[in-house]
Amino acid sequence: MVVADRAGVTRVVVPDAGAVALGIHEGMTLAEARALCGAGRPLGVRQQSPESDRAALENLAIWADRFSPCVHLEGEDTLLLDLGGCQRLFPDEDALLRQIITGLGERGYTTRGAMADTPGGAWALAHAHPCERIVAPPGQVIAALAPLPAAALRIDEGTVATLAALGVQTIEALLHLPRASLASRLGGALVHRLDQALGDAPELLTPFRARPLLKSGVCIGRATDRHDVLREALERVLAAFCEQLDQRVAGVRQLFVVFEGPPELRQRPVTLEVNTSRATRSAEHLRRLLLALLDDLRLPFGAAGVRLWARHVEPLDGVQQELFGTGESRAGEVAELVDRLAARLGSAAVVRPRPASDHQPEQAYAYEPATEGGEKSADRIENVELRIENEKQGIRKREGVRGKRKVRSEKSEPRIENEAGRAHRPFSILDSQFSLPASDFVKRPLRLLRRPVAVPVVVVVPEGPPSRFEWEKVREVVVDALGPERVETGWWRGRHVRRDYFRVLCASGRRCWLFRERETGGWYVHGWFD
Amino acid sequence: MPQASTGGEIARRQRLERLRAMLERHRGGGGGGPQRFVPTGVAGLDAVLPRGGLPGGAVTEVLSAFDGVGAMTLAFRAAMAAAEGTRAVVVVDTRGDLYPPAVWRLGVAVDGLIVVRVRRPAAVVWVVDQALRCSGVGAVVAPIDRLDEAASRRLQLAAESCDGLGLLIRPAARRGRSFAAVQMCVEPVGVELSGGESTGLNGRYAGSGNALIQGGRPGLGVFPVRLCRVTLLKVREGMPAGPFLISLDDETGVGALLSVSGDRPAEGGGSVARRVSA
Repeated sequence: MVVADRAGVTRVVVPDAGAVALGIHEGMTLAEARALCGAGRPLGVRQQSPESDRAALENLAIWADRFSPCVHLEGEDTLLLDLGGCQRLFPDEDALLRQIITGLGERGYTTRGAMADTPGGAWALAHAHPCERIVAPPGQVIAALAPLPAAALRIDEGTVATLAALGVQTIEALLHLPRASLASRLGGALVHRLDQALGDAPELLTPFRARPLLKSGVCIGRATDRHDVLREALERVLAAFCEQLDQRVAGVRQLFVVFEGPPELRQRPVTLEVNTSRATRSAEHLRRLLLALLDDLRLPFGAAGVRLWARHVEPLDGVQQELFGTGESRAGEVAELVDRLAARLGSAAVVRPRPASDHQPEQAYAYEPATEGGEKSADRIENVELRIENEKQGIRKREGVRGKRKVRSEKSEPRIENEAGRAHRPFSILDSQFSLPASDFVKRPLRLLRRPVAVPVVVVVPEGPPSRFEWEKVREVVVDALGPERVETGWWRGRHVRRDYFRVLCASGRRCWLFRERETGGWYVHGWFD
Repeated sequence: MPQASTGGEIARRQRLERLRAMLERHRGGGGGGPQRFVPTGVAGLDAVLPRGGLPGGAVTEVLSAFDGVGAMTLAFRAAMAAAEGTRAVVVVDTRGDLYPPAVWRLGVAVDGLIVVRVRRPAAVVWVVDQALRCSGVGAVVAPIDRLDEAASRRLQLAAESCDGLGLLIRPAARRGRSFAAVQMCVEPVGVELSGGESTGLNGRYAGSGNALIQGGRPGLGVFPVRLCRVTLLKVREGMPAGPFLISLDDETGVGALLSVSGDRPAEGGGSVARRVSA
């Protein structure tokens, strides 16, 4: 289920099938949705991310390139394909539309498609026609558009409301109105859209061109999985890649390494992703990251080609190297260290803790991945294969322009790639946003067990600390205790936590943090003041 | 320490300094800058360590008898001093039980803490190696159980390439040959009860240091002051020393050396006891 924050309130944008079955609809607030879902049932919630929606749409546009040389992105969820001149390749229009819709369905999108003489007409048919797939026969666009509501002409809501007030519901009724007065009463935009839909006014479609990829590749003569050969190939590829970066004075934060098998085996190439926390074009740094990846690489086939490509490049000026590292270059070094560690161990292993405002001790902090590289999305990996396929198909010839036939498809359930909810800050310990003084933190043990461990105790005073307890088969005698510190919290998380904590000094000199669970009366060891 | 300075004494000291400088050059350590020495935060202990602190650009092993003794507190205090507020502190969390809010309370900058969660010993050694070679890292704190000689040497070499402080926390049972520059063993100090009682609290538990335990006087080692016994098993450029009795005050963060012999200061031992009971 997708939610978005609007004016401070989180509302549901797109509920999935399960949510719809529960009665959750668009526009409902999240709190209502949770209430409908019921307690105890997990509710999957994702933040709406316009950037990743746009990126997904662009990927689809690249995919749709196989049908038409001119693919235009309209709005947030619409693709307009110009099929003029493609009749020779796709003689059967209905079959073509079906193929497009099926192809998009395989990618997980629910699509509504329409084909018509004009882009406006196709848009209107796809959005407003009750059928999911409709082909308007050539020359009969007016007849096809007639029963559709006026809002399907891509006009603004104010005009739609005015038309409704006037009693004009369908395009047919709109066509009956005198043209001359339409422009003056309802605005020229409406007339323009009408003309575009009917084919009387031209509409320009700008084809979508994916941003040029930065890539370099090398072919290995004979398929091999020897590390030294792969390493040599990777170094050459990297050198060419970094040269391109230097020429553009740009840096990358996300890099893909593709190992391809020999073409006759038709194997899926293996793609590795490398993220860095800062844009870099330092060949040395990238080399270390890539070689670290290579160490752990196990290829199922011998590699016949190695390719390196990147999607996003950022302008990056040259940085003057200082002789004695201070400040900025130190922060850069730490960022590189984090990248190296994360490349080898995974980005979940290298984290930075952040304080969280919570009384429950184990919730008083949260770990954030220390790298903040590009989005780790399956879509990116898929795009690699997309590119390879497209290149293999070669260039298709388009001849002649005989009328314009448009195909338009709409994506209704956006596939969510990643949660882009958190803002990542660049790593810097120089200007710390969290400049909390040490005294703000309550005295807590340095080592907190992940789960409190139940221990047998002997308690002399009810409501007081234990006088003896046993830890790992060692009997500890308690000499002094500080407490109780009562923590009652977490009822909104479903599990109410009511604990009395004691800082306990044992006769052996150890200091322990124990608590008594007030509801059950059980005693637990939670941490050690090491 | 002030000494009677005669001509002979001065010449001897100068000769010692020259020899020391020669030894350093031969060893070839340091990452391009003067070697720094990081104070541990315990005033008396720093006085005992050569040059007033733990050597930067080297590995210090803190051997801890068992949990809850105070080894990690000492390690983090040294790490905080090494970080100087501008450099990062990398902590390797092998057991999954590090509690960052407590680290922040010790004074480590909130933004300067990086936690690496790994378990495999080989990976831990690699992480410490990489972190020590990074000039932006002030200190690396890592609990390590087993460390063979090759790995120990590797870490020491990595530390020498830069001037970060490596702090390895290991179980005391593993003391043995090591390439660390300083090896420090932290042991707990048992707390005695007055009158030979060993049955517990007798109903006084809201103690704040006033628990009448030792014959009517505020006892040592009760909250908020903690005691531990530190022995310097190995010190580069120095002699093994100890055991020292150290007190760390949780509330004020002040650490003090209580006695050089490791025993408790005598009853009525004037200023020492009073400092502790404040």
